[in-house]
Amino acid sequence: MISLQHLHFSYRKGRPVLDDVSLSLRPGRIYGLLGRNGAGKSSLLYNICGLLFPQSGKSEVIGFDPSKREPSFLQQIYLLPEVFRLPDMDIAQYLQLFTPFYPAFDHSGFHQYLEVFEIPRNHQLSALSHGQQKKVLIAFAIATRAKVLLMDEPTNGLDIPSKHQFRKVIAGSLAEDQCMIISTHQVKDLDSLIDEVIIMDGTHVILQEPVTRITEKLSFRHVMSLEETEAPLYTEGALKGYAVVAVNRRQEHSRLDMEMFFNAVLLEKKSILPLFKQ
Amino acid sequence: MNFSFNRFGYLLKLQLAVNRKLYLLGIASIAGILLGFMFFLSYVSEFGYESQEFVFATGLILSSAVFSSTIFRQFARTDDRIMAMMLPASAAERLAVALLLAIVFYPFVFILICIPCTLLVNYINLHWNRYESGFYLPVNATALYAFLLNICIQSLVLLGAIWFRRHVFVKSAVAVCLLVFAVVLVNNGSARTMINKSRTAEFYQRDTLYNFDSAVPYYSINLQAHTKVADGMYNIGHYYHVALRPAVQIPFLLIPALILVLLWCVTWMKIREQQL
Repeated sequence: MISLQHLHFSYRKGRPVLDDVSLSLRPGRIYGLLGRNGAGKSSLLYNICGLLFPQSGKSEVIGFDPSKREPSFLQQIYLLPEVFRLPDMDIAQYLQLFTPFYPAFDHSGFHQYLEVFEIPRNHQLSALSHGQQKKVLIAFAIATRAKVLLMDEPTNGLDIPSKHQFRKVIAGSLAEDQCMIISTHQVKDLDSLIDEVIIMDGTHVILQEPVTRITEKLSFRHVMSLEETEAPLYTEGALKGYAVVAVNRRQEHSRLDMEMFFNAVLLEKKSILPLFKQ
Repeated sequence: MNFSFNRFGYLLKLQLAVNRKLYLLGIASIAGILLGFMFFLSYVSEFGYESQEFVFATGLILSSAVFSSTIFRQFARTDDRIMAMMLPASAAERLAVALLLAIVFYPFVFILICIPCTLLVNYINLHWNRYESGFYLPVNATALYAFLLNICIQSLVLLGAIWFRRHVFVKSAVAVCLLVFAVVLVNNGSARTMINKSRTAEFYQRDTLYNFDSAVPYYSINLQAHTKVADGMYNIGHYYHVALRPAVQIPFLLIPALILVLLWCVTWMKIREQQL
């Protein structure tokens, strides 16, 4: 569905933002794109949807060359940007003006998502808070039924109940022919939502693994004392004892702690990344 | 080229709806400025037929340029830019909407603003100042030239609107002035070179100044010969207008029209090449 091969991109000569990035993403999956601030997550998303053109390399998204930005391509890809500004009109008028551009738009779905998000239907967009505007845009994005949904820091500006609503809406909305990439540095927000993790660091994609494979290779546990566990790969002090990431030698089942995993990969690259190359 | 009339319609509707407040405010401001300027003219002199013609032509071109410079304003700010660029519409559809608004829709709106303003000022002049003048309607040759010139200038301003991200109007205005200056220089320079190359020795008379003004190469030229009366003083002398025969004028006039098409093509390419 999305194939990027040896992509190179930079805003200025000699300062690469994406360096030899290769990715292959399949439909029916939610990808979590993780990375520090400035790691190139947004630039990668913009390259996928054709807002930025790579200097070299090949990208193919749902059979299109993104840099051509053909309308039939743009109808099937929706980017929810981190910063946005909605026009001064009410939701009904927004729908009336923008939905004709998306032939597969699901009106009833949109209103259902608005209900989940507890957004009043006929409000002026400018009268809504930034978080509420973001929820309108998230509902719109999902209702377009675009084959590729790109979300850049979607949980920024959302309060805690809204983050829960966001997870609920996203989890129940993905069709088999859709692919979603959620880019964030607030990795905890994606817990139990994503199918596959992509981690970017220093202009490269350093890891792309399904959640199932991560929990197969690593175990995530809480222990009272570090002596209870054999040679942890990464530890963090917790309220009671320690949170530990260790090699899953006994094939135990544990729940992926996204934030722990992300920190572990960034700080212990040399010991963790080779595990996934086996 | 990817073009759908449906999407063109949606885009036009969207452009008008999103900017309706700005446009309504703009219409009110233009009406205010026009009325102010017309009253000023009738106060300092008489607001006669020529003045009305002048106000119409300059008002049309200047206010159209301001309007055209705002057409691609959604590309100026990063947050608007992302939303605008991700909208499923082709560069051709975006350009068509911009051209329709700048060279058809806006001049029509301007006529609708200018005529009532002119009528009002004429009416007040007639009843209060007892000054009777002809009422100007934009249906003469000057109006036609103003509309044609407006199309050329707005095409340039639209290119500037997509080329520049900030201070679009100022930068576009400078670009238009530079281009007009360059065209005048090239026209007169090339005409002078052509005449000088083909002149015979007896063509030039002593103490005569020759001018090649208003030259449009390969189309028409004004030749002026001024006889010297004293140092630095010349008689107006003879004036010749040399032009191609009417039968071949139209093809030669179409050549400048090709420049317009070229400008639109460059604008279309710039829209296609837009990146964040």
